[in-house]
Amino acid sequence: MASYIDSIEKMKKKPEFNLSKILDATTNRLKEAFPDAQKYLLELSKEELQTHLTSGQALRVAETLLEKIGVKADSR
Amino acid sequence: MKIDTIELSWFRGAATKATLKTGFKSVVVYGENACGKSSFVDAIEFIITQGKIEHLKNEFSDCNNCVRNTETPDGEDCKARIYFENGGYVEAHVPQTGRIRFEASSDNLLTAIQKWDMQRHILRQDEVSDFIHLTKSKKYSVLSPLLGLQEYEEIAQNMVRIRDSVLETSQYQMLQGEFATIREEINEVLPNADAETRKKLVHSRAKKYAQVPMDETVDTIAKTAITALETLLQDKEPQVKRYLVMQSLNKIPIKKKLESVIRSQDKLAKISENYIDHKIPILENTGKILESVEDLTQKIECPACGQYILGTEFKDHVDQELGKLKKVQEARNQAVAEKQAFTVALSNFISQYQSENAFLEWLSLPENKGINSLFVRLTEISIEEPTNRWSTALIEKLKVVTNELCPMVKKEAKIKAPTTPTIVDDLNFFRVCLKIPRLEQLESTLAKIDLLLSTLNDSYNKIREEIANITEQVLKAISQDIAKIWSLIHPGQPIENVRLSPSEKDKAIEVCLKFYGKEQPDPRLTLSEGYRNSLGLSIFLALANQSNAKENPIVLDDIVSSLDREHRGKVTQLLSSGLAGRQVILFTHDREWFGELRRFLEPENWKFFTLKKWESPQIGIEVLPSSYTFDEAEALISTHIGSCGNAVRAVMDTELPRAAAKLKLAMPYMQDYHNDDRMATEFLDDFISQGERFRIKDIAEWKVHQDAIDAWKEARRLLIAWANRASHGRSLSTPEARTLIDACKKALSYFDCVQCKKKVWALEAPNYVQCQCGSIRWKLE
Repeated sequence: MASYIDSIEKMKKKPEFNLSKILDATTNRLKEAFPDAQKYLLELSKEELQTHLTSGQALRVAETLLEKIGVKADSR
Repeated sequence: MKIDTIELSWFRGAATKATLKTGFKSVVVYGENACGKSSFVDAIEFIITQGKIEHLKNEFSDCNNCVRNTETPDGEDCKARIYFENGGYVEAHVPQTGRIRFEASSDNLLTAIQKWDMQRHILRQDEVSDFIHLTKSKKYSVLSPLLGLQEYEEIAQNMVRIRDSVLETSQYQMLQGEFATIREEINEVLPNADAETRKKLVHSRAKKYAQVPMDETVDTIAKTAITALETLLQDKEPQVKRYLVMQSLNKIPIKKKLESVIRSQDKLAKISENYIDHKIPILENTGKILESVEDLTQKIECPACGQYILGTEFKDHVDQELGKLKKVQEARNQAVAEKQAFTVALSNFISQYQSENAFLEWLSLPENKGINSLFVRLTEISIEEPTNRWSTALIEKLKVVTNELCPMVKKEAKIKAPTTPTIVDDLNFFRVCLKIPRLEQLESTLAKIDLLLSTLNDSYNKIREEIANITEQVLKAISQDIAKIWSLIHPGQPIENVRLSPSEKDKAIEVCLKFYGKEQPDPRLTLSEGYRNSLGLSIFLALANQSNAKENPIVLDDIVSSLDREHRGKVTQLLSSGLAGRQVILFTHDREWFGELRRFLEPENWKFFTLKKWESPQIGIEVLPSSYTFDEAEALISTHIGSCGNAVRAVMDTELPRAAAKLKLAMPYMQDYHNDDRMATEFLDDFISQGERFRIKDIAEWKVHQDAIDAWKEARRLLIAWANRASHGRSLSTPEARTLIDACKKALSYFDCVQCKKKVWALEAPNYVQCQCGSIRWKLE
């Protein structure tokens, strides 16, 4: 009965699901063009992204990302 | 966190107080229908879900009314309190009016309990196969917390939230729409041109109207052209006039005429002759002179040249002179004519040039300073009479001016005046071109946003991929448990490989199995209701053992009602295996199964309760003590005498199988489940028939324990006569009840040694078991 419990435990201990690692791999193009934006996303992945973001928080993150890639509200 | 006690007060079917004390053990609660079993389950659900009970939600929106006992006295509150093994408690407090309150011995405990996942803790009869009937995506939602993937799902959802916020904040769709519109407009005037080509084309067209350096931006080039074009449009009339005047001027060949003047004058200059106009008429009249001359041998003075010529030669001389003079006259006339022609032409030229104010305005523009000055110089030249010989200075002045002016006029005459449609077209072209910078800005902005969005999408997809991988691995492990449980309940049946499988569709899970060797994508296709229920139970039990809740109880409410006797027996085995140490709170209305559970489940780990028949809201739920005893049966004589017979039989049903197991009582094999379905009377039959194995020591001799055999016979007789009648018809008199209890007590008492007070199976030898002092013995065969 406990076999899958062990599997889950093992799985949780495995570093397979490492958000920073995933983002590190998926943000290469962003890193090349806008290193600040990539850095910001990686910082977020340590804590904020792992808890529910309210719509207000998500909006602030989006604004910051847009600013970091040089798309400011006034230039749009 | 194991449950110690559940206390209900005016909650659902409970009156003043109904208590279920588990003592941290697993419990089986038996009660006929409508005894109040589900009230305990409802209480647990009510507390976990902070005031919601799923099976009541459609009927009642007001939980105060749906959980309060209808006869709750005024001033009494409806309460459900659960004590846990750490001594803490949580309580739901439902006042007659006002808000439901949840209280606990500590906030942490309340928070922890209310985080319990209902679907992992409680399984009700009518929900056993619910999981199977859920959609694939619902199955995923139900399993998501169990898979331990909530935080990963949250991360994935956060990526979506951020992506959506980027779309919203950047006004991406609007920018895309604007970009598409502008691109379409620009493609219409500059099809398929890249930025560099666009600039070249714009610059090339702008040159028609304005001088603007190539290194200026497209924006500046277009703006300059537009300014020029707008001016042009405004000054369209002068331009047309300029063109027309220039055309006219160009048609006046003053330069050519001047050249003719020069040529004729040069020719005339070579034939110097004065007074020619006087001489010719005289010469023409010489005939009259000759008529007056009588002697032609005389010399006559020539009026033209003044020479004296013989009369006979005079006529020839005059003719020669006259011919000569006429040639000169002709040349002179030619020269005059040429001058006249030039004069007229020049006059026309000047007249044309001065005829249009618009043209003069055009000439006055700074860029036309050169040509204007030539026109002015031309008008300032004083032309002499054509009949006069023109001075070299005059000729030279005219020559200089016309040599410069005429080619310029000719050139200007070739520059057509633009038509209105052309101007408008070009103006529109440059106005569209003004949007090129915006197009390029939008292109750049959208590329940046696209990069960000694609990054967020890539991240989301990768997270989902990781979730899918983990889901697959975890489901594989869970599926092994489901298969084990399934094969325990349905051993050797052609339904195998029961498992949870991630669907091809993301966030979806299927329940799959092989039916007679053929893969089935959905159990509903092949399984009966009973099998679906046992599959649902298998899934629930497998899932209930999730790691982060394995210390918590699982509550099973009448979960075997659709299973037949054989499969209920398998579930008994499953429960007796311990379910990995989980506390189980099991409710059943199946008396037969309850008896079986009491025989097979170890008293060290399990407690048993019976609910009295529910009589009224005022009396409410009554829970009988944890295990039937003869004392409890006696207590029932005064309150529920109908239940007394059942209680006595329950004691015997529990105690005799245990004794039989310890004494290795040989029992005839019965078909299938009947082996597990033996009643107390059947055990008594076998004890009686094998009574010779039970010996009592009489000094040095082992004698058959006849008193015990007689007591068993009497108990058997009364159980058949009264207990069965009582359980069916509930008719049992008080004396009968007391006699029944006494007889059964006595029958069981012979398993205990009167000397050492130990059981007959206290000590085990190779061929027998006996009490500690060796007064009674049971021979093993």
